[in-house]
Amino acid sequence: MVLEVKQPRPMWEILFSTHHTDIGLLYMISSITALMLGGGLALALRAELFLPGLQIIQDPTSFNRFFTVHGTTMLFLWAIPFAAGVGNYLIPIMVRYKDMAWPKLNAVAFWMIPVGAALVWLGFSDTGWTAYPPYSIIRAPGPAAEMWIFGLKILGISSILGSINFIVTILKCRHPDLSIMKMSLFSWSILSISFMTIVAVPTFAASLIMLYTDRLGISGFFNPAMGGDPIAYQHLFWFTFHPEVYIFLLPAVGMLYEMIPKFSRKPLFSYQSGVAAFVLLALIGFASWAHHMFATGMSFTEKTVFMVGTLAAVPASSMHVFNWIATMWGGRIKFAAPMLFGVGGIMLFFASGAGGVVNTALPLDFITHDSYWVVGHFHLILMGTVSLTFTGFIYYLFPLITGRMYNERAAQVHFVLAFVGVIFVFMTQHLLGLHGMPRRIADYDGTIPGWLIMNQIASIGAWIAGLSYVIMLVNLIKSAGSGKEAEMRDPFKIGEEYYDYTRREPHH
Amino acid sequence: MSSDLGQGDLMSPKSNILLLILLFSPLVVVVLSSFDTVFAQESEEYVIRRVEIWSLFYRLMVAAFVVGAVVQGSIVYVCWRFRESHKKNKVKEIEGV
Repeated sequence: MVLEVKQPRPMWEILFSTHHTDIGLLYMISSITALMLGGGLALALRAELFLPGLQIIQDPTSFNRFFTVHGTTMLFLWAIPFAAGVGNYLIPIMVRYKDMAWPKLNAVAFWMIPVGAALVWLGFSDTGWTAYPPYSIIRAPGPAAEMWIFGLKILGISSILGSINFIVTILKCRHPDLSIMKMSLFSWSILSISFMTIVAVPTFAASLIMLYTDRLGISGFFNPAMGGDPIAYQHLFWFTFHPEVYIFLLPAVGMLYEMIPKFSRKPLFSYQSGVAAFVLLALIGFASWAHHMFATGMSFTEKTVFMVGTLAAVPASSMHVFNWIATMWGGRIKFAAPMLFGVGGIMLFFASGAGGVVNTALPLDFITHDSYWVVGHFHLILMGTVSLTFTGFIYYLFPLITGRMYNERAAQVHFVLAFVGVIFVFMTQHLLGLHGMPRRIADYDGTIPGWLIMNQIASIGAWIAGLSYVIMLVNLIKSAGSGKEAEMRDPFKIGEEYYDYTRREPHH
Repeated sequence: MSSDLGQGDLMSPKSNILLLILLFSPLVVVVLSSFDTVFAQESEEYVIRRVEIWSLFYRLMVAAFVVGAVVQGSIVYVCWRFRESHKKNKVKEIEGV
């Protein structure tokens, strides 16, 4: 099988390579596979919710298993590995070094992912992706829950190894002529999330061990019957996973900084504000974890601190949005597929951010907590902004990786369907939440006003979005084999070369 | 690139001011919309929480939709006005070059 048209090599050579472009490619292929698998589970969930009663998924426990594996797959096997893949591909080129700092460690970090993925998928746990105790330590059936715990443990170690490699590559292997304030904003995004990963993930790694020993019955950290506190797990969990939201988001922001100036044919409006916003978001990401837990009972002071901490992300996020709009202003924008997805992602970024501000307002959190509003909100950021931008970047990198062009018309159809589908699903889910529908239910009362029709709109939207990604898959596979050869210096015919992605070191 | 586009025309002081007004006007709305909610808690009158919370929700939604309309409207305008196929945005051929 040939993956790089310009330099054909056998598949086994790529699989056993430690070169950063090969590892990057493997990351991207495995994460796109995960996107399809996780998306398949989402379509099954939406098919089940199209009508009240149980039709496709026969019992609520199986429904729980589906959304657990869907969430785990999309977050840990699609969003994080895709960003790592793009980082692997581009960071050494951007910092002008021959490879990642430790190529073999890089390969080890990647090959831990299939192992973690196998544990998650073969176990098919039902704990929810949050695995809150006491259910996860007392009732959740084994060995599925144990496999989920070990799968996440391995994926966490992989993230940490990858992050260390990125930090050392960017800070220590950068070309001496390239100062840190001149490197690309995508490199800044990867640097920011790598530091965040190193600070955030060990906390969850520790709580996974505690969860496991609690399940074995030899400890009771989170078990109320043994004097433990389930809420403590939630603090540990969200200390990791609220920053993780920014770990998903910031690479997408970095990718937008690559695409928007290029397709606007204009230099970036303000490099410094972009850097400042990355650093601010990386810090503020740690100041808001408990806003996920307002309903668990906290003092008013605690809640206020975390509310303010959450709202502090608004100015930094707005700096990015302002930067993008101001960059486009006065440009001559070419709306090729990557730019369409990028702009679509920015538009939904505002909508999801506004939903987040509502969630963090103390009294309003109580009416939206654990309702479909929350499902709509976080999917709008993850699917609407992060995944649409990632998808745009797949098209953006496609000619540079394969040497061929994808079918532009099919990619534009993909964008229209995905954008419309995402709005149908997740905007409707916001309304469903306001109508009182709780999240994580396999069945619902169809006589409650609005529930049936809104669930059906959401399901149809999901199928439209699902169809759009099938179009993408066919387009990419077909074009990789028989697409038109790309003009490597300027594959999108923008007329200007902002960055020389094609400069590569020889494989080793 | 910029010389081809006639960048000076597109980024004139007037268009810069318009850009700033469009992008900073949401801040004014946010500040104005937060005034009267602060005083509701200081009153000793009987408060129906459900009503108060939904009223706060609707007020915030109004603010969000106004801000959203401005931000999203700016993005849509920028995409429409500065797309390469816009008649004022075509690259002009320079005679004799």
